[in-house]
Amino acid sequence: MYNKTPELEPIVPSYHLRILNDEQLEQLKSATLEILEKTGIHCPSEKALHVYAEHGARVDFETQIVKLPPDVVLEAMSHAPRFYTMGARSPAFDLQLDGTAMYCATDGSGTETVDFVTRRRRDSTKDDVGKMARIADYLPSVAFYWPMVSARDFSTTAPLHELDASFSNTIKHVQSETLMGEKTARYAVEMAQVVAGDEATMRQRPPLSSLVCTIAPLAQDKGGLESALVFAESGLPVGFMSMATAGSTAPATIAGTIAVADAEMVSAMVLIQMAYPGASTYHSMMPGIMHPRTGDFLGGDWDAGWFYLAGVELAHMWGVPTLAGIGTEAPALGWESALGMSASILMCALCGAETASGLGLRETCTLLYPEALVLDSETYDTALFYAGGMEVSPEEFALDVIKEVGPRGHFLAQKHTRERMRKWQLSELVNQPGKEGGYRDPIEVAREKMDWILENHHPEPLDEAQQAEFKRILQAAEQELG
Amino acid sequence: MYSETPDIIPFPTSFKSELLTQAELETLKGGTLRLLDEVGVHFPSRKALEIFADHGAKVDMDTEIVRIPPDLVEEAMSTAPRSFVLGGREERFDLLLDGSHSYLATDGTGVHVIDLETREMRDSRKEDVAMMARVCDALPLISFYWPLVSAQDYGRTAPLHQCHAGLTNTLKHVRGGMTVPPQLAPYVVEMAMAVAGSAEALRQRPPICANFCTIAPLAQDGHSIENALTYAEAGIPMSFMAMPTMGSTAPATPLGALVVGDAEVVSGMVLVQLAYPGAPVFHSNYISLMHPRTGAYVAEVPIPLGWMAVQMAHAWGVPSLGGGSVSVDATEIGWSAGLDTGAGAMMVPFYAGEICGYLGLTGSSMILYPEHVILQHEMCQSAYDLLHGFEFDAADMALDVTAKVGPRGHFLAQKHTRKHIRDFRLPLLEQEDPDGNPRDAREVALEEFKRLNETHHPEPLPDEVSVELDRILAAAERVAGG
Repeated sequence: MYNKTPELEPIVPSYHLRILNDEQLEQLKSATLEILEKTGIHCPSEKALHVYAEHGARVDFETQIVKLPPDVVLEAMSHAPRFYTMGARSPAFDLQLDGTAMYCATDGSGTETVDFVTRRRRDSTKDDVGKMARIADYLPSVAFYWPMVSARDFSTTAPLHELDASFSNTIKHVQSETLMGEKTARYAVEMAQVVAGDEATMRQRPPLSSLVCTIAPLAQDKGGLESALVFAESGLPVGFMSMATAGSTAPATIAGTIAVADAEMVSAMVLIQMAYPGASTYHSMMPGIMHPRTGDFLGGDWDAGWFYLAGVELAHMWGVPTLAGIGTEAPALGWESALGMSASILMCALCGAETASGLGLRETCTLLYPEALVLDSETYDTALFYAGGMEVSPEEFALDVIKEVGPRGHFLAQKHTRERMRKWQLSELVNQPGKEGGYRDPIEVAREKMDWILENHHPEPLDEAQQAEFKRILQAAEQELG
Repeated sequence: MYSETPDIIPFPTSFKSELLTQAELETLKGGTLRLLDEVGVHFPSRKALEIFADHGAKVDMDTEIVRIPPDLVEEAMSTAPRSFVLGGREERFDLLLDGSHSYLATDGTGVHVIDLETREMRDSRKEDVAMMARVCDALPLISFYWPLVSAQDYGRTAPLHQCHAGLTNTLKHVRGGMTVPPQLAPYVVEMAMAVAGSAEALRQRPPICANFCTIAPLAQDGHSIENALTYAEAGIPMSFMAMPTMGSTAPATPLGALVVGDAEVVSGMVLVQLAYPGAPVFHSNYISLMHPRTGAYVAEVPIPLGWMAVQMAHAWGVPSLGGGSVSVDATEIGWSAGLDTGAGAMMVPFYAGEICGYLGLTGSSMILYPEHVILQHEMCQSAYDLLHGFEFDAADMALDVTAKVGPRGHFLAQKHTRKHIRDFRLPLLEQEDPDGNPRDAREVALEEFKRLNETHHPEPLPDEVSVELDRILAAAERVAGG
């Protein structure tokens, strides 16, 4: 027996926000084109260099610098689809990236876990990935799953074990950010095909997508690019994220950092479109700022908010969907951790982001407090309520009830009140009455909810044949890569 | 010597969004008009009843219920000004309520204070009102000082002492008018007059405004109504604030509560316009929910009612007291308070209410932790940084610097980096201890509060005005005591 996965609740905003005007977008686009043409990007992959060279780029094979004329960039980007589907095990959980809704993912690739039982910090494991996938499966706010932590109990095959733990514990779409190199990518594609059932379905409703980070400034990673090419070849979406940092790996201005980051992502998307025109790709702008005094990376909600929002609009200008940044820099679960979360979710949704990731980790995406995902899910619900509209229907005025009660009366004895009060669904976390009056600490309630989910929610497993196939793939990968 | 008060920083409303259509607003206004016409409002003031009767309202002198025909409502409301000025000590602190800016206000009026030194909860006192006015004077995003707590060390004259503590400790506009026994209202007017300098100056740039809470459902408070007429005659602007609670004092449907509150507010404004056409009035409708299980007051309801109330205010052609709000229900400064603060601050520019924010209290406006205003001000600063607009030019894109650094380089050694890295506003609350660990934001905020409390002493009122205020207070004490 298994439990039904609750329906997704994407944010469908009833109003929108524009951060940059058309002229500003054009200015930034020109900057990207100028950087790609004159400064170029470093690409340490022979395979990729050849693709670039064959499609009109000026490639220096010795320095591995690629310079892209503007018309080559624009031609390549014209093939990138603006809308597509990210599939799930069942169509009800497919994500339609059509510009009307925003779907959120967990954060990913943390390296430490606050243990579910002992509450001590320790290295993260494959089991953590699986447990968090089950919690994510239960939460309607989580539309797709990033393996939240690293399977550090495995070595070179860890990314594949993260996929195993994810697909085995959630029926939702999975997006990986750790699949490096052609060989690893091919095993991942095999796993995706096992989940989809056949190649055609995998291409139509890909259950897996990938995210590859660029290297700032203006460089690509060999393993990342070669993995991306495998994904594109197989019809699985692949996106690129820049985390250029103003002051260290990018100019110490917001606009300068945006230009560097955008050039990195566009150069990679251009490669994908040159090699596989029409392949699904996306743009993910997540730069930060170097703390002027300590050198720390300031990202998350406060300081780098502009990057995330501008990134959404730049993605759309290039004609591709976006993976927006949401999240918090807060070190723990208190006041600050709730502060920026709902605001960043809301802003990204209002700017029209199709997807976003960042629910559930702390300490700049490195530390998993398991209950943080439940708490962040609540902040998502707040954003959902702020972004939603409300219909006005005169029947809802209840004028007859008001007439009956009249001035200085009360509504406690009205049948209308009894009927309607029961329909109020207040937050499970913040409106829980305490035994001694007041409300309970939401963090404590979140821990209980997490425990309840782990004990009670067991989503539909992969069938036996799929499980056997996964086992075989992992064994083969272990032999070849391990 | 005194401290310089920084200029106030209002939020521009360039991101203003419309949740309700004009047709929906007309439907809602229709609900209000029907309630005023068919059910009526209780006005326990002979003076008010006579004004209504003189202008053609249907008045029952026995039950004190006034029913106002739609034509009379529309006619009276047509004389209410859409925009007017709330004055500060200097013109740079004047607030022009014309819809182009949202000015942040403090919250009010709490009754418990977590003592700055003992950290124990105690009853609030006049010295707390003064201390908070001084510290808020130093916080640029706060434009409007609503005495955060009640001067409970004074009896019936407490509201006058709150007004006094505000006027003598901040150069910003003070919400000095509250409900007092009618014989004390002229003293409030005298205080405003003393600070403004003359009756004419008081009308032009009133240094205080007043707020009157209505009584849900559909009733007015006798003293408030008579105070309102006294203040209106002198030209002191006033808001009427409805606080209907769904399930107890209002129908358990949001729209039902919205129209009940709206009818209360509009009835108060109509009275003032009938008596003193053109008197500055504004609109405030705060809808809460009775907790279905405990009966507790839930101010943060998961429906954008605050936004709808702003649009209703504007539909009636008056400014709004209300909009994005950081007021929190939680009693402690914890996760839940952070959630409400973050989401509320971000909504300020969208809702576009003229006076909004409500910084500083917890526990549904009952408890003052002095440091909370610093935490919330910092969050509002982040929202402002993000949403007041983004300008950049070609130089900001720093393409020459990027070209010089090139792929795989770094920007640390660039003169441009040294010059611009300091342009980023460092978040006040993100500080590290000597070991490099993040400091608790609340501890940092408390330090900042104490620093401002010790060092910020705004310009005092001229001696003769101070003496005059003392004389007025002494006279009021005699009247109240008698």
